[in-house]
Amino acid sequence: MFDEPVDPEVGRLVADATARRFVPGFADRVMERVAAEAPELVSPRQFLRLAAGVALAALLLGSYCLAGRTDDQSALEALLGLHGTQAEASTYDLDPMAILTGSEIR
Amino acid sequence: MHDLRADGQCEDDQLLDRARAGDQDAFRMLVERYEGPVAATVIGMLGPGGDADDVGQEVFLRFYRALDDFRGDAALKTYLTRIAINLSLNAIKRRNRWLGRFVSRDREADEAPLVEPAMDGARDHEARDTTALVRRGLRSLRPEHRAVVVLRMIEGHSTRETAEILDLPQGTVMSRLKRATDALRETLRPLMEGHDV
Repeated sequence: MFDEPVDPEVGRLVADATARRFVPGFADRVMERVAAEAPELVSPRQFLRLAAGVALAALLLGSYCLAGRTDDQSALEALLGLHGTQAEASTYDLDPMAILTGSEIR
Repeated sequence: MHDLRADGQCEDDQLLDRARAGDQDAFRMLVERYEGPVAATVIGMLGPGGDADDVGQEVFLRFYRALDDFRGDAALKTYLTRIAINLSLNAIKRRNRWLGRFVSRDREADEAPLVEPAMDGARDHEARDTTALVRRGLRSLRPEHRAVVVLRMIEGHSTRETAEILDLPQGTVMSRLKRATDALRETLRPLMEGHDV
C-alpha cells in the first residue's frame, strides 16, 4: 500500500523539538522498581517448571503405589497408600431398657 | 560467558533470554537500549516532566512482568512502543479526569485556539521558543491524532507499522495524519514563515 509521506517541514520541526531521553538516571529508577517487586514475582515459566516437577513426582509416586497394589485394595486405596479394609457388621446385644436408662451396653 | 556480537553488543534475543533467567543486568541493558524510542513516544504524547518519566518506567515494568510472554513476533521496539502509546493514552485520560471541569487542553483541542495567547512575560518568552511552540502544537491535538504524529513523525514508523501499533486501518492513520498535519502547520506557521513567534 502507498505510504503517505510525512510533511517534511512539519515533520522536521516536530522531530527536532522532541526529547529522546528521560531525565538522567532513568535506567536506575526502572531497575529500582524492578528490584522492588522481583521477589514477589514468580514468572509463568518458573511456575510451569515447578508445576511440571510436581506433576512428575505425583505420577511416579502414583505408579509406585499402584505397582504394589494388593488384591484387596482398590486403585484409589493403592494410590492413597491405604491398606484394604473389610467392613464387618458389629452386633450388639442391646437391652432396650439400657438404652432408655443410659446404662452400659452389655 | 555470554555471546557477544562483533560490535560488542548482545543481540536482543540473548539479552531477553538472560533477563528471563533472572539476570537483571541484561534487563538493564535492554532498558538503556530502548530508553530512546520509549522516551520519544511518551514525551511526544505527554510532554516532558514527571508524568512522562513515570509512564516510561511503567512501560519497562510491564515489559519485565511480561518477559515470558514476549515471543518476538513483533520487533521489541514495536512492542515497547505499543505499550508506551497505550499507557500514555491512559495517562491523558487520567489527567483529563483529574482536571475535571477545569481547562483540559486534550479534550478541548477542537474548540480552543491552536496557539494560546501569551498570558505574561514568562509565557511570552516561552512562546518564542521553537520547542515550546511545537509542544503546544502537539498538546493541542486530540490524543488519538497525536499518537499518529508521534509514531509517524517522531518515531519514523511507516503507515502500516503505525496502523499495526494502534490497531487501526491504514486509511484511518492517513486521515488522522492529514488532519493533525494541517493543525500543526497552522500552529507552526510563524516558524515556517520565519516570523517571530
